[in-house]
Amino acid sequence: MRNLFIILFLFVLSGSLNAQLSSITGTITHEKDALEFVNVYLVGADKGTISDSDGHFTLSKIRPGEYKLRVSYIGFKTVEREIKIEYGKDQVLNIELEASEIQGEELVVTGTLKEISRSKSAVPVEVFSPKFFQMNPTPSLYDAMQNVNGVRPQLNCNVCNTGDIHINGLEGPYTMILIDGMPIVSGLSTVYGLSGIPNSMVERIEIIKGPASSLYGSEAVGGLINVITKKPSTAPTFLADAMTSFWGELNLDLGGKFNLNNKADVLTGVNIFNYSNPIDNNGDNFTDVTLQKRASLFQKWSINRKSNKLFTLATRFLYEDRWGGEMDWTRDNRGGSEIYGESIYTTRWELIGNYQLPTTEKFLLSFSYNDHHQDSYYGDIPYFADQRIAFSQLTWDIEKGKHSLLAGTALRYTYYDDNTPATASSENIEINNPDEIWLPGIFLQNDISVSEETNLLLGLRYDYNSAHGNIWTPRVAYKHSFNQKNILRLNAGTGFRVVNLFTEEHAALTGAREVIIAEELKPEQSYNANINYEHKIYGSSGNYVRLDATAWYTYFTNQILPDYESNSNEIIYDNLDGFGVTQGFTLNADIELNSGIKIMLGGSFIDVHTVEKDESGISQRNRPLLTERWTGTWAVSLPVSRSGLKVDYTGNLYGPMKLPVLGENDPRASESPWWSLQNIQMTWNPQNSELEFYAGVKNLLNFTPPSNSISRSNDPFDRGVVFDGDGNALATPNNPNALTFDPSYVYAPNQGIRGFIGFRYNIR
Amino acid sequence: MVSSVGVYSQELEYTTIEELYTKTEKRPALIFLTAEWCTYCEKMKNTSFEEKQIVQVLNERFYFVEFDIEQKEEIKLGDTVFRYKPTGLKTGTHELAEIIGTIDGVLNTPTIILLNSDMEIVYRYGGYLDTKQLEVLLESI
Repeated sequence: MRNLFIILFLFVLSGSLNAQLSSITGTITHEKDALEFVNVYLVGADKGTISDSDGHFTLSKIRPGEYKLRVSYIGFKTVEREIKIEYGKDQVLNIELEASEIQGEELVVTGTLKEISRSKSAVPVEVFSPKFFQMNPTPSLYDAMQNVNGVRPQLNCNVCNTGDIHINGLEGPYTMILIDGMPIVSGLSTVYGLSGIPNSMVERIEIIKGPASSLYGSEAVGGLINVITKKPSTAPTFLADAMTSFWGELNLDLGGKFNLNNKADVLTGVNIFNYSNPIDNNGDNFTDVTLQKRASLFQKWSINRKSNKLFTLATRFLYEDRWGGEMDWTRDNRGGSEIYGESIYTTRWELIGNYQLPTTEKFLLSFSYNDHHQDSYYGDIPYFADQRIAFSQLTWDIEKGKHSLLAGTALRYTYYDDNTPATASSENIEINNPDEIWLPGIFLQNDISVSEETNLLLGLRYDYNSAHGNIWTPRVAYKHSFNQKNILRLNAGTGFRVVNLFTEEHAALTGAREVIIAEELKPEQSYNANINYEHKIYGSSGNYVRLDATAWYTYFTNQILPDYESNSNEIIYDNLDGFGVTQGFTLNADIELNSGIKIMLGGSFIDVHTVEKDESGISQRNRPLLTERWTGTWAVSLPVSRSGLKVDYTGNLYGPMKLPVLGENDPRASESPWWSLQNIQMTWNPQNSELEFYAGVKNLLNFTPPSNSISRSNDPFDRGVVFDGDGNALATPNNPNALTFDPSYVYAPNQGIRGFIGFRYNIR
Repeated sequence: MVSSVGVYSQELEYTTIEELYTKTEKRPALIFLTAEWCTYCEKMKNTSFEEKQIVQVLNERFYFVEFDIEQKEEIKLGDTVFRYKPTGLKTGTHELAEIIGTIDGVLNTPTIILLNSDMEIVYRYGGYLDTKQLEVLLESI
């Protein structure tokens, strides 16, 4: 009889039948060690089971009679025992197995999850596993993005170190960050969306460069980062990961799961980060790295329903206290004008849920809510802001022959309020008028399997923005597999974006520059197309190479761009009276040699420019600030024999970027040099051990940006600056270059070479 | 020797789990748990499972079953139906894969499950196996 199927039925039936009859229980061992997954089979009763992780097995509901119990496992001699079962009399049988001589070659666990892969979808999705990010461990996913080709975490402020994620040269607001497919990160919270997600809770990160599926709306023209959290079947029972650096940074990640009476699986993750050791290596009397204390708690409930349908609820809570500023700043100086400091308290919570309706048709209701509160001072300028986003979406999955249809309707509500005039009534500045936007939408997507080799995905989305009216977003994606080793993808779509000035511009908040809106801004429209080609080579001896090339082109009309250059004290927002273009190509190579050596390389050429007529009517081509033309990343992993020792060498390289200087006399370079961050790490995981140790050196080249990056760091309140009638700084003897205090000139982190050490403890 | 193999040069024959259930000829079976995004599964399919010797052994002596742990289709064995269990937006696992493939509480891909001709699970391994390792494994049954 078919034991596999008996096992399957036992799983299904156990619990539903009463054990009126007798049972046999026992433990299977080999030299006192419990043996898992040993096959236990009762010949004559057609009953079988397998031993669990403690070596235990149970065979129940056995009728009285005489049987033969057979215990077998590959690599061990099979044991057979005659057994007599009497009615209502349970038996305990412990069995010791002997190793057989013909034991196969001992297998060393190698690959299960690849560091980088690409999903089969027609939309080019790159999938990164936690293994990839462990090659250069970072306390937050924000920092981890430095390892991904074409993705650059950009710090926007030298003092408070908040930043955003640039994809293929496009600014942070063009990047959409999702958790489990939910758009809960935007505006105010970009940096917080990716910090404080416990690494232990991440199953994989999906990155789409360029416009994604119509499921995600119209905003993400630059790209999309979707953090997929673990599911009960992939999460370890317990996981701890602790790391410290020689700067005194301490990061602790804890994760675990438990099963609640078979009713629910509960995953819990905790992340704690503490950096409380002010360091000023560049001698500007300002903290080099912002001091941070962060705690975040994530919990996800997967509720088991009889119908097997989905019901999950997840919540995340984050609290962060960060400050940066003059070295002698203390909390008593918060908001004062004696000693300069930027201090931000953030409280944020999120709720994410998914519920499949109990209908035969596949309806999925998804919902999320988040509440973000920021209490901050930039010097003596207060900034208190609240942002709430509620989102709900109902999708309907229909599979019909070659067509896989997805229809859906979504509603997003965004509330934003702060203490600045941005949210004051236009008639009376004294009256607060929070910004509220309703964004209902519907979408339809059809993924057509034209043939075994060809997929065509067509999508159309319609949104109604309560402030801007109708938004149509069409998408088309095409995939052709010439064979398993050569795959072509073509994607095209449009994008639509409204700028959210006060949540996007850090320099506006710090008071370093004043925001000027030149005219009523029109929504920005963009058109994108990209082409991707994937080629895989499988060598005969187990060597593997995957090459992946992409070229893209995006055309913007009404592009909304901040102008830093016309007036050094202002950021002027204006619709571009011309057009904007971003184009480029990127090449990735993923090499895995038979010897276990892995090499992942990526390089991109990015061209971002705008074309606008100047006063005399001549078209001028202009390259925006902080866009790099060339960028590269690499990660090399070398296993050292079979001792469980591994060496990882990771790095990135960025070409020159134009930088925001304060006028012509600014002594700071108007272009950044080529710069590179390189790291080396050793990981030791003794075989069969639940413990893993790692240690390494970050920023091997000790690269740091110039020490004069903060202009007039000696006068953060501009006391010694003389201004003219238009608010422009004048050159004076103690300010010969006509500068003001400005912390927004930043292109690289201030942290030089440093060692780090940590361990991971993993109980499956 | 090589030339005689060449004559039989053939493609790997696939059997489904349902077919396994109804086969009358007794043979051991190899169940290969995969996922769409699983690079190592693809690597095995393009290397080990293309190797002539392995294909020949599998076709002649085994039933070979490939099972996508995220497949949406229901599997009916006898009167019991096994379904896809969504665990989130566009993500989930098939309960059949979870039942037979979970090792140490974790379901990995690739996972190799060996059944003897009595359909008893005799071996499971979660991870990539190269051609040589797979050969050793197939010889041991």
